[in-house]
Amino acid sequence: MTRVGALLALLALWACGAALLTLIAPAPDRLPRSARAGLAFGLGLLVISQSLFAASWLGATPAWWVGALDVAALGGLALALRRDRLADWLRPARAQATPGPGWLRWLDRGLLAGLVLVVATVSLYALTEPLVEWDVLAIWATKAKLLLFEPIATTGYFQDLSKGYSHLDYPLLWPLSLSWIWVGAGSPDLWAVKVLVPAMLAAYAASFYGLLSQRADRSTSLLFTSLLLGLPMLLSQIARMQADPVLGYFVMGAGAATWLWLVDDRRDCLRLAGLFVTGVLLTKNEGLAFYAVLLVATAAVLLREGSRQRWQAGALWLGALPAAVSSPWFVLRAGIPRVSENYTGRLDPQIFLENLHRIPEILAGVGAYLLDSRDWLLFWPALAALLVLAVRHWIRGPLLFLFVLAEAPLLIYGVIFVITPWRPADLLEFSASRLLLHTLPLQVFLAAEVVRSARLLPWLDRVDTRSGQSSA
Amino acid sequence: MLRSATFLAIGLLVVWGLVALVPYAAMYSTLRPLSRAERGELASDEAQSFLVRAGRVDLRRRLALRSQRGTALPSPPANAWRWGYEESLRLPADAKIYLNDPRAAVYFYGTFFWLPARLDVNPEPVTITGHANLKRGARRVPESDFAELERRGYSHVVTRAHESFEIVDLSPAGEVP
Repeated sequence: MTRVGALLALLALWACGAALLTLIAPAPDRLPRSARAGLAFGLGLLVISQSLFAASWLGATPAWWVGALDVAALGGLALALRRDRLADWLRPARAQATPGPGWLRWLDRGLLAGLVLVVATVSLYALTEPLVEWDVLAIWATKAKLLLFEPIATTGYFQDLSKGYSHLDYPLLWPLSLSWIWVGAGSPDLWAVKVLVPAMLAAYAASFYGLLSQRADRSTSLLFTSLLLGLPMLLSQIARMQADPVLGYFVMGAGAATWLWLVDDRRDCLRLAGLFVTGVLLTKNEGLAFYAVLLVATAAVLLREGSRQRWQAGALWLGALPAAVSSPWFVLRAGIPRVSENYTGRLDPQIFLENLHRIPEILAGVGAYLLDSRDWLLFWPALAALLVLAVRHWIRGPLLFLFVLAEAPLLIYGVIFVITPWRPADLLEFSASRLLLHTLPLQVFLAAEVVRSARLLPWLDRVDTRSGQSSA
Repeated sequence: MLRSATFLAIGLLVVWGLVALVPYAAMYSTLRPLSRAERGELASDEAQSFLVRAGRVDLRRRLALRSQRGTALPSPPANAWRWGYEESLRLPADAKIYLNDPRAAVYFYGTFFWLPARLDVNPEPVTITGHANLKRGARRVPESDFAELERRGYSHVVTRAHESFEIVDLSPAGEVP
């Protein structure tokens, strides 16, 4: 019964996201059904967690009526305003088949079977194992369980320095999502909450495939989705319910959708990007670094274009919307004492210069993590080789935007390693591989787009590399 | 040529990723027959669960060295997980608990498992940001002063007992020392 309740809570979460997606993307037939299903999960996380946040701020602990109100309000709006679009959820996506020989169709089937195997195997294991991961228990699940009993309005938690190890100022999107599943389960059950694992795995696969297939053919999209979902570090951290892959998922949605808006002028993608970037800000503090990079890179592209209309649309959806939705959290956060690490306060050129001697140690340390095949196979060296070999395909033009989005946040993390008050080796051990997850989906997305642009797969000659459709 | 090489390289990574699923299947068959407490204990043991070691290059190196020397050590997180979980099934929700032997795993896990009951390591306000200042911030109370803890509202005290921990119930019906 506990798990059935958890599944119902998950279904309500997804329904909220699907209703919101129907409202914000008036042409959902342009997004494949898989993408809609995957992206709806992220929008659901955002809607439910923010509703619970508002209720908690007003003095209520997480309860089923909060999600029921969300489903009723968003579902009602979707029915009233976009009734004609609801049928799109049942309609198959536009044809994406790659024109080519028969073996390509077999390749697609094999890749699809592989993806199903990955999601099924990891899910089966994750549902057998309770919540056990150190950081998840000490940080995210502690917040989630505490907020089940004490609303934000009255709890002393955010000022309780004896719980400083749980990072009092870490955002609440992921903890409140856990709380919601526990509301459905009827108790903070350590197994029931793991229904989020299969959902997250499926959402990763479907969203990545769907966003990539907006410009790439089916075979290329499936191949790179399989590459992403085969990386052990990503699977392990999703299975363990860490917040880093959740941030990576929102970064993927925000980055890829912004890019699709910039290159194809897709307004539905801009709206999607605005909501996903809000998720970025509310999942982990590191999301601020990605947001800054996204704003600067987007502004640079728009400055070059000089389109006033696009400036206004960008400012509204990428600036005003995320700021408005996330501001209650940042108001609360401003009053929370910083006891663990105050990196903003250490962003001082003098501290940076004094610690320059750490750079060789940091580079060597990062190298050891990037090259560990048990976590990453040989993904990072392969990506580096691809970027070097196909440099002329991304160094100028729209792919440079994707490159900056994927790599600049890592550069910012590098600066943090230089100024950190901790020993860099200790910090690397606990965070290096997890930080890489934040832009991992964008790295794979970039790789796919570079491969497609350089026509580096045997079947790409037969495909129009801009639209993904046959050039014949 | 370059196209075939690219396809081969990506294809190899994809197949390698599928092979990397084998430990999940193996761990699944190991965990499946176990009780809930046993599953949590095994899954949080760094020597037994490959997922604990994910992304931890230095931990893997230390475990490999330990394994070469044949020195298998008990896992504090695994022990704390099981003990904390089992005690959570017994402790009342309105308990106020004092941890008299500050171990990071017990403090961090206990705080989670026993919520909404409260767990402290010092009756006075104190800052705990991690392992480093847990010991500095904690205050050990001699058994003779447990009555003082009771006066301050604590209902239970966690003490060290041999290789594990035990919870002393300070209420009149409990195991008063």
